[in-house]
Amino acid sequence: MKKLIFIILISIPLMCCAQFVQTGIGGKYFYSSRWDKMIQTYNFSRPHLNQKQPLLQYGGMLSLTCWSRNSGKLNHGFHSDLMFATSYAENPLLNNRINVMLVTAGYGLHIPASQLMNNTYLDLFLNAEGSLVTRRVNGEALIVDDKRTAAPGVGCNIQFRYGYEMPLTETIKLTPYAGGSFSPFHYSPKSESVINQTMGLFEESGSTFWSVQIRIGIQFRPQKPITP
Amino acid sequence: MNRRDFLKRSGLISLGGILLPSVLVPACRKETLLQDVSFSGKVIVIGAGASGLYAGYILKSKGIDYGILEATSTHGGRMGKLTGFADYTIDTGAQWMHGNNSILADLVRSTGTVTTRDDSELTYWFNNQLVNQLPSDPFIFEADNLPDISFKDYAHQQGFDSSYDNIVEAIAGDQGASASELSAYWNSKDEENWASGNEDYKFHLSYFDFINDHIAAHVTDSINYNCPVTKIDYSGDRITIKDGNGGEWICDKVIIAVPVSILKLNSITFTPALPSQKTAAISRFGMGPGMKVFLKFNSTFYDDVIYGGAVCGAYANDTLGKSTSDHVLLAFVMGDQAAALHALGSDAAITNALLQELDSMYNGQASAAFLNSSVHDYTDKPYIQGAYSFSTVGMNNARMIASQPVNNRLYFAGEAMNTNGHHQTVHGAVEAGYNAVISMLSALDQ
Repeated sequence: MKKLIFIILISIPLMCCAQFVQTGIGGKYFYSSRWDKMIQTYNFSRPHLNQKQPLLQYGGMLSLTCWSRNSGKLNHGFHSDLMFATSYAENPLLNNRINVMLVTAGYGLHIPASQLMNNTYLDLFLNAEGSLVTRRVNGEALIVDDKRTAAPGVGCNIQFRYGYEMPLTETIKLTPYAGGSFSPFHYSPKSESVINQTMGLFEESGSTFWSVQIRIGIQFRPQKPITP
Repeated sequence: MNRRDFLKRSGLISLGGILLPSVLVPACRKETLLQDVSFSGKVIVIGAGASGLYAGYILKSKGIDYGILEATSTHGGRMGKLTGFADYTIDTGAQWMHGNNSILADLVRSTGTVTTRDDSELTYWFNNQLVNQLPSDPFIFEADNLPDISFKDYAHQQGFDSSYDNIVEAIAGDQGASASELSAYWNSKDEENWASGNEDYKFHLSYFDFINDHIAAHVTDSINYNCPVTKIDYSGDRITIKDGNGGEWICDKVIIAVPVSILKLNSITFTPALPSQKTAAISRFGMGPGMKVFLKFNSTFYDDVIYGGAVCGAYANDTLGKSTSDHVLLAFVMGDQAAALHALGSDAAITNALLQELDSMYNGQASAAFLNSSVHDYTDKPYIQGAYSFSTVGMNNARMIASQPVNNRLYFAGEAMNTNGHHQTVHGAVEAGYNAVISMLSALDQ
């Protein structure tokens, strides 16, 4: 709840300053070779667990983009995504859930519909990203040495999204899009400890991370449009 | 393009964007490592300790033809149990599960095994007094950038005078080492990778039975007992293994899961000889004497854990977490202290030396309450010859080099070959066991 309030408090002033705001909900398909390898090793090394731990690959996503006032033909603005993914395996006396929260925040360019084909738009972003991998066993957070197990990670990514604007009213548009992102290196050394319960078994401490995503959303104007 | 066209196209693109990777990529994204790799040859695992047993268990789960050669008449390696001495089963080898974030901790959960967290408070025997706190905290060995000198030298360098020597000996003894041999630097580097947690857990029944019931039980039908391996010839197309009884075994891959002391002593002859870099690395491992003595009394006159004895660095109440009305104290003796007790030559002499020390701590109560003792000297065991591996001064990357396979045919496991900080532990041995199988199958995959 505290996190949600914090996000809302940060978002309100950004939204107030924005020329228009896009927000939406969607899904992500993502791939991290390192997290895959850890879960694969976990499954390989525990033959006593009948149900294997699924790979982390699908996540739900919330996004918010605040585009600032038009400078020439392009908009520029602040963007943030929050993705949540989980891997859950149910075995007798051992229900294991690995959760991943990925927060992306950055700055980007919006090429509006007027510059592209009819009513389509293109966004390009450069983002910083942070991740948190946690584990729950039998419905409770795993406590090790009186602390919840959690593995933070950091990285940066480039992201694009290609979408379509469908005006609903004068100030509100439906803005579905498809997009993708690529992180050349996502550094998350402790995730091995959370997922496979080892450290140093995997030589690399980070890996590339990419995703594809679709989202449905709306675009609205908190302020009146600028007229010449 | 009108809106309808766009919606059609973008809908298709969007669906394609999500579905194509979801359909195509999972073909490469297998749930399990090396899922499609099979091996039709024969694998022999040498050593039926926790590591060898787990390697066998993994091989079996992959449908690979395997066998385990064990030098003694029982499995478990440095794990064992003693029944009849007290009204509960005593673990004579590994007793504590270190941390609750490990593969074994998961096995404990999934089998409903009862464990108790060991929150025992330390008491110190310091300047001939039992105290709960020391004037200075001697736990100084987990800092960054420690020098590559021994624990003992580092403690002196940091201002701990000789009155702390036995306390430092007890701290080093926890790593199975003498304070004069254990490297402050390399031990701290090992600790950096420690991921399983610092709390210790004791088994309500016994650690040995837990491993026996949930790991060994899967592979006991493939163990050949009383087969002490003396020669491994990997010069031909297939590998020939000879044991001390004249037995000969043919296979294609070998997982060597014997204690590193056996490799250090060249008890196994390799043909061709192991690479010199590897033998040099193995020689840098420390593995010193180790002994556990269980002392049974008619009352509990002692503290839960006592550090700092000159004869025995660490005593611990053995009944924690057990359902018992007996009073058993464990004398956990490692390194130089174990060598000194070993030199006394008899179990009675060892017991007397320990009782004398306890009498001095507890005003003669030990001898008065003493009932019986059971001595387990790992230095005496011909196929173990020590406690467990530790990082010596000058250790460097020896553990990494020693654990590497040879010619993609010989693979090395056992607690000493764990390169992710969990050596000296049962869960570390298990990790080294499964990792040897991963290395073997990965080589086949390439």
